[in-house]
Amino acid sequence: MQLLRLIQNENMKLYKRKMLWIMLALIVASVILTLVITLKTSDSHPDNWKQTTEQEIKENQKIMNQKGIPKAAKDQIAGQMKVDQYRLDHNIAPLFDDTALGFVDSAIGSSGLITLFIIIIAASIVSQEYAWGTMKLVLMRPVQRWKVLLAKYLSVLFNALLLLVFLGILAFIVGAIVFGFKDTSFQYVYERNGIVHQTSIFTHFFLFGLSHYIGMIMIAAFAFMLSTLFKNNALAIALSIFIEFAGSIIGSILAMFGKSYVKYLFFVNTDLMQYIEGSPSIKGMTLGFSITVLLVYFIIFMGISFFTFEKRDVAN
Amino acid sequence: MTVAVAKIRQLSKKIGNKELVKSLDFDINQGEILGFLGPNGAGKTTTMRMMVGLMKISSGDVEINGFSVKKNKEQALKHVGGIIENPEMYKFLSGYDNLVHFQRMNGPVNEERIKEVVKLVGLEKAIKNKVRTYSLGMKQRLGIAQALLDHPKLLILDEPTNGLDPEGIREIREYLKKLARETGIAVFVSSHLLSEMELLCDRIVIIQKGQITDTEELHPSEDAIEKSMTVALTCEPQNKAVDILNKQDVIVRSEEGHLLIQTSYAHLPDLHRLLVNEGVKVYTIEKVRVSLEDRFLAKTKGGRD
Repeated sequence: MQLLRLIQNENMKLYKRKMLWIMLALIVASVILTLVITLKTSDSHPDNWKQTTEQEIKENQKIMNQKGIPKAAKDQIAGQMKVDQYRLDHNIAPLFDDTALGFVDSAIGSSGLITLFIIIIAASIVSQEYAWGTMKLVLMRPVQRWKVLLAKYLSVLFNALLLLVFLGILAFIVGAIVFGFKDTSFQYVYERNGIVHQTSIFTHFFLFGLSHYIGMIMIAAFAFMLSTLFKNNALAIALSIFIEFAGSIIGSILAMFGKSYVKYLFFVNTDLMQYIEGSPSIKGMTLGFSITVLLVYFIIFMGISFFTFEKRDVAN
Repeated sequence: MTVAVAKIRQLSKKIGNKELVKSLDFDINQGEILGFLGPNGAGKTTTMRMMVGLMKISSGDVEINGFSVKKNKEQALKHVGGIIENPEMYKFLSGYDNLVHFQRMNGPVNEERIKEVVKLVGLEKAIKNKVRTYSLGMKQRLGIAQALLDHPKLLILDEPTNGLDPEGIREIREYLKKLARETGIAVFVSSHLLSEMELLCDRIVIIQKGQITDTEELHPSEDAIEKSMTVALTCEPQNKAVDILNKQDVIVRSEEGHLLIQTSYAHLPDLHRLLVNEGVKVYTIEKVRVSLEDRFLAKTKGGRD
């Protein structure tokens, strides 16, 4: 199939350069860093977790009884106490950092790094062909332009998935080798809106990955649009990184000033995990709302990309 | 019999108020090397870009192998290979991987065909090396190999000898001639170098300020030569000779001590007899090959005022 061959081409161009390999090396480095931090900071977990958990509840209770504790902090502590109590009641050990799966849970925190890499790839995959002068040879082939563009975007998504899975598997292998499976808990316990929930650890990992992946699809579409529109990867990279990493702060600030349009900004909707294992950052937002907003933005980003790419005269 | 591989009809490109290319009309025939000659900025590259779908056609159309570039671009371009401006390939890939890349765009990879085109352009030794290490001549040849991958009926080359040394230019010229002769492919080559076009092409289309000003057969048949040939005459007195010849409906101009006259082969003995009878001493009569450059300059001088 033609589209598959075009994606194969994009991947070849990516793998035959150093960039992606440097990214993989940095992911390996981030896992090793997580390992070093885990080994240095946490003492090996207690043999009797129930005892320490009970201890923790008592200490938290003391803090709750003190005066002058801000409400936000109290809410958080109360949530923590509920989770602890739930563990005791249902005999579910915490996810210790120094267990195989606990380590995976810490290591996949580096997925922000992958988002950064995907922005770089998405922002350059179109503009670099103009810079190299190869776009002329590509577009004078008997292939519809939209297929060329779609193959590029799909290649970005494919490699985003590849990096994400690579991080997860690498973290699991390292965790399993270093810590083994002793004392590993297979249940994940979290609190949402005052109610404690329990799910399989693998469901937790899957949802975490999925949520991040959707975030990447969105920011990649944004970077891709800028790259197609301006034929300039520096601008696309800079703007996308800014939106990705400052977006939630900008959202919070705007929300603080009571701007009601905040919830319609695409970057405050990208973190779907907030609906699953937490509570939304801005009132009135729901999972369905965010998905709808993301979908609308996605169509706009892609529409602009494909429209300009299809119409543009290739000069220079 | 001539078969037109490409028909360019009323082809125009307008950007804003500027008309870059105005109503071009010409055919490119099977097996011929057609030159596209004109000064820089005359609209050569713009025309070629429209022909291969890189630029939208403002009005008119290009038909390649029976398919309209405007309406059915994918079908039309199936039969076209080419290089527009510089042969820019992926520098970080080997020559071979570059060919794989461009072949994959049209269909599955066919290693046999890749080997064939590599051999055709003589790049066997370097094909596994990264394009980064190639000389300009090698890149140009890789570009041609790329263009030939899918057995095109029309090869479009924009200034293929730009930046090459004389040896490289000669090589490319030989390849192209061989190609047109052996495969019957039509080659459309642009250049602003007259002398080069003369050695390479069968026919040229001259473009100036976006318009075709002339179309020339470069190797006219014996018949055509007999109908109109240029002859250099050394005679005395020249003034008298000019007067006599002017009355005979032949074009005369004097140059470097001799007269250049344009006439037919059959008419020549009569003119000679006439001059001798009138007492003009004729020392030499020589057939002159007028270079394309002279003709081109004569024409452009007329157009430039």
